[in-house]
Amino acid sequence: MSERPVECSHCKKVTKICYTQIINDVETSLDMCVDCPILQQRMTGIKVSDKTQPNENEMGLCCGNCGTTLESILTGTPLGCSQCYSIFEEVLINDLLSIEAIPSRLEKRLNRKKSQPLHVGKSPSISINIPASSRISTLNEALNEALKKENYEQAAWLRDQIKDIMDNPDGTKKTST
Amino acid sequence: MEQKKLLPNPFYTHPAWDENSNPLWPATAFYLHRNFVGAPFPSKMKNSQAVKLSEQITACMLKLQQLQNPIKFKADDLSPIEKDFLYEHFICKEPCQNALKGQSFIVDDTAHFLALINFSDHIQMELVDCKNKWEKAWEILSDIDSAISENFEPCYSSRFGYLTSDHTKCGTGLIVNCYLHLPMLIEGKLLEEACKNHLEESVYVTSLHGKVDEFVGDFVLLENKYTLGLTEEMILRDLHISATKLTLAEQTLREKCKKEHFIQTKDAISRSFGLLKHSYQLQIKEVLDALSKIKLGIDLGWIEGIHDNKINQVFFTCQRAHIGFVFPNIGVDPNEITTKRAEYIHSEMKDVIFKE
Repeated sequence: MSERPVECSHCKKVTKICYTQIINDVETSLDMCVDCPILQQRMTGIKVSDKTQPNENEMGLCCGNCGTTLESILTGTPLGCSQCYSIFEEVLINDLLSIEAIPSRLEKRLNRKKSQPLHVGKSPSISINIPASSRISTLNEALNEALKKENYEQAAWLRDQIKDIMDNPDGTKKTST
Repeated sequence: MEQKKLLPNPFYTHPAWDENSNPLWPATAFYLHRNFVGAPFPSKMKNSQAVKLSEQITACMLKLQQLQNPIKFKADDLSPIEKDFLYEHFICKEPCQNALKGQSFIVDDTAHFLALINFSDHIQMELVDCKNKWEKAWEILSDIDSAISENFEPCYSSRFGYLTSDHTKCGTGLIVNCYLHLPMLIEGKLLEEACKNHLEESVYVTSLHGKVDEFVGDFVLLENKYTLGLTEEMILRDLHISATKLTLAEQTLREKCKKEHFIQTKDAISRSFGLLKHSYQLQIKEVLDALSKIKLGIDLGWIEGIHDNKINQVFFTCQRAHIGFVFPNIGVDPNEITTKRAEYIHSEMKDVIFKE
């Protein structure tokens, strides 16, 4: 099942590790991601600077406009301004890829062309209207499937749904309560 | 102390979802996140910047024709219980109880629209659709967005789309939640398989509390996994396909249950009926789980004397802040709340009959 993954307590990435610490008989457990810099810090006592993480110079990277640091982004702090997107572009894309927040077909294109625009939806100059027909075609597909399986109860329910959308495509009809 | 009712009247007279009588798919919530050029994102804003921007945005939104008598509340205009009320009413994703100076709320007479100003983003709009009219809901939200964009230039790049403070929401900035009531699939432990078979790749499953091991009230939430790389139409289409297929799977089970009179289902409904009718203290989770079974019982024809949309209403009204407005002099003692909740449930259940 495609479930929303449990997020790291610090980085908002998918958790892979349960970190348990016992101090003075008090046991606390935290779900953490593999790359969590806080986890690395707790395990080794030093800050992360291995090859999988940005190097020390990069770790000092900071947005000149709002002061957001790379380190804070890696620990899940929200971005501070629109310029953070250009300053931390590569880190953000790597993060989106690692948490699978980009569709797989786009991921392949991204590997081929690094400057590929990732956004394909509405823009400030172009608004997108969604016709009711797109929902009707979905329901029609399901209706055909139900008829193929000779499931006439499902088919009747789907037909009602289609009729409802066709009779009242703009949704202005009042529903009786 | 008696609570003042500051929100528009429909919030108190028509709780969320009460316009819907679809037993399987009571509501869909659309969330849109936007930031504007000229100010850092809220986490980096100075107090004075936040106050100024909040005033400018709210002034613009109060003139919008897409909203019905919009009204704004600064963070400190609303009492904690009123903020809790909004949180419950809109099943907010963002905790709004601890709103600070420079943050504000906009609601309107439909009681289906909420804008959070300067929370995680400059503006986060939520529109709840209970009539299964997605295109209309999207059109309203998109029109509001366009109207605001005429006055405030949105933070946008061709590579990342609309720029949000949480980069996992950039792109369309659109999150959609379909609320599905699937007790038969959950009780029969068939949800996992149904999701495997019917869910599109771009769709997540989650629950009212964000957990996937416990579906309170037997509500399953479908949410889009991507905001980047898909158009708004694709996002809605994938969710619609997934939700339609899951509701069909649930409905097939219900039809089978009606014909074969599943004894476990009947027993669960009967127990829930007894719990709601005869308890003197009720915790919220047990109420939501029991109401789910009553909702199912209505659809199966085993429960009479109450309508499905009434159950939707009770589902919201039994929550902590809502109860505070049903019993205006209620205190904060948890025991008193559970007692009053049971009292409220008794009154709503008084005409309900379980058919043997």
